[in-house]
Amino acid sequence: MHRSFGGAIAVNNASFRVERGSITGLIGPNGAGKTTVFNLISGFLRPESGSIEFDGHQIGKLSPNAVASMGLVRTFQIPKVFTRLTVLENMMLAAKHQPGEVFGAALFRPRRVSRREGEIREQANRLLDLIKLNHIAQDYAGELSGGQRKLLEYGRALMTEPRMVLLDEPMAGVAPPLGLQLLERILELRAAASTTFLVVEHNMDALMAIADRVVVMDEGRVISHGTPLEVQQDPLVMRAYLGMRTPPSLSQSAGVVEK
Amino acid sequence: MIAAYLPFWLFVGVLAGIYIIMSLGLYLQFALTGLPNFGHSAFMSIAAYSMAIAVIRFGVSLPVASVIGLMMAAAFGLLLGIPVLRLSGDYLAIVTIAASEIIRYLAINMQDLTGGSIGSLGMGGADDLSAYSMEWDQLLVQISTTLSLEGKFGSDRDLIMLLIVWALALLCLCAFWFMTRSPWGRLLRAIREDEVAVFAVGKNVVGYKLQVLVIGAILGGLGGLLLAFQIGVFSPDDFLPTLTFNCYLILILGGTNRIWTIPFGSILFSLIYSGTRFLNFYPISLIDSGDRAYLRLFIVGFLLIAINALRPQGLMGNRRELMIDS
Repeated sequence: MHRSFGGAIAVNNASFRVERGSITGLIGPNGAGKTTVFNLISGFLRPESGSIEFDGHQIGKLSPNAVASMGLVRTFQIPKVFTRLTVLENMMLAAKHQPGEVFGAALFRPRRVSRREGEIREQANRLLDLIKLNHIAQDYAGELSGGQRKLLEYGRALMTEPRMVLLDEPMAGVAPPLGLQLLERILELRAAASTTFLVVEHNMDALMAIADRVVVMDEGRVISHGTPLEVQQDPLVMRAYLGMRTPPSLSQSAGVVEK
Repeated sequence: MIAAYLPFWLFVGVLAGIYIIMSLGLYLQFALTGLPNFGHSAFMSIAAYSMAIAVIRFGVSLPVASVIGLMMAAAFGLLLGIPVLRLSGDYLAIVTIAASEIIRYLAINMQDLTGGSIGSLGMGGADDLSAYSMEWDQLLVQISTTLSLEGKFGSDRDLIMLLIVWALALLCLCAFWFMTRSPWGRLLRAIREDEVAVFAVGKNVVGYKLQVLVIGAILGGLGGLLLAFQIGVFSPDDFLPTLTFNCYLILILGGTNRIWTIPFGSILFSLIYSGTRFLNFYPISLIDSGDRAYLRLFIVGFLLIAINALRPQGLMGNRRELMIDS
């Protein structure tokens, strides 16, 4: 895929594949285009050229809500919670198949709505247990700390019963013990539901510990990919992180790797 | 004193009821979904004008004309979708108030259709002074003979009008109170907080915004129709942007984040707005009565500032929710 803003090329014909059920890390120095890739995949931006395929469907031209309802859900670098809704409401809102979201349904088919609402509440409480926010379920989300908001956003994404989750720096700004908890949850969830994860994270130790594969980007290109060990030993990756510009010939050959 | 002024208070009560319905539309758009629509008065005028034009110029029966009025208001709501889906905050407020002013100037200048600045009286042309509200007045007379009121409570007409308007207002309030507590209302509140995040969990934000625009437009339109029925003749001056601001004041008076505060805000507003004519005691009586009429405008403006400074949650709003930074 390819995307530029004015004259700045944010994503330059980057191409990579994420295996079903894997935890794939997406790393690269600041400005490498990681967040733009997330915005492209989740439908918040349209690629200028190239394509995005999810589970056999072309999703490059879909709206963000259509992408999310296909089971591909994202979180944000700076968590976006609904500040003047309670923690529980934040969670419940994200659930799928609530007939009560249709205007007037609450008046005309109250029983169906409240039955589904009960199921959703139960699911939300289970997940809040998991992310350890159940004791503040009735607080407003705006009263939570930054780390708790990350957890809440993560829980909200899981409420949609996603098949693939894009996590944008899940551990940034989260207190270390909370961050570790979050990691454990990711592993647990994958074991339970074989959910796929694509994770942008600057905490290399943590990411290398959980990722099956790592994709490295620099200046909008994919410069390396492989297992954490392979990537760590790649001289191109070292150069990107140490600030030395990669010779054009090298970066082009790296771009071919995935194609 | 109360008894002597009963007809007057009936009239005030009718207006308060109409304001409830109008403010409810604004509540859904502004307080619930976070769309600062400052063109609410346009919904009212479009509904009233469409209804009156249909009756007077095209001889359509009143019920059908009323439905046409509401549909035209809804169509304008959809039209407002163009700015609403692109702008937010102050920019949206500016565009919507401009849109409502365009409607008002069209009403003044499309004389052949709207009667120009004379309003509904001029709609039928110079020698046709027929009114749009004849069928409505017949209905009111019919009801008052059935109930054999015979003026026991002052004006029969206003009493029945009061009952009808308040029944409608409370019905709408209850229905929307119930719906705002449903998953539908939760979604709208979430859009107010962060629409990007609502997109991200797979909800169709665009569809919900258009829905709320249309529903708010229909409620505003219903208020406009009732206002037109109540005052019998109307002109563009009856649909000034002040009407929109009054609705905002009602929401702020009661407390913007609770739907059931609307009737309290509405009654309080109407009392303040109409009650200023009883300010005929010393030292206010030193000002002559013509100037005193303007006092209410000062009082309304002063109230808005005072409430925002001293009690931002309104009289009965949820302070804890309001104090959270969004």
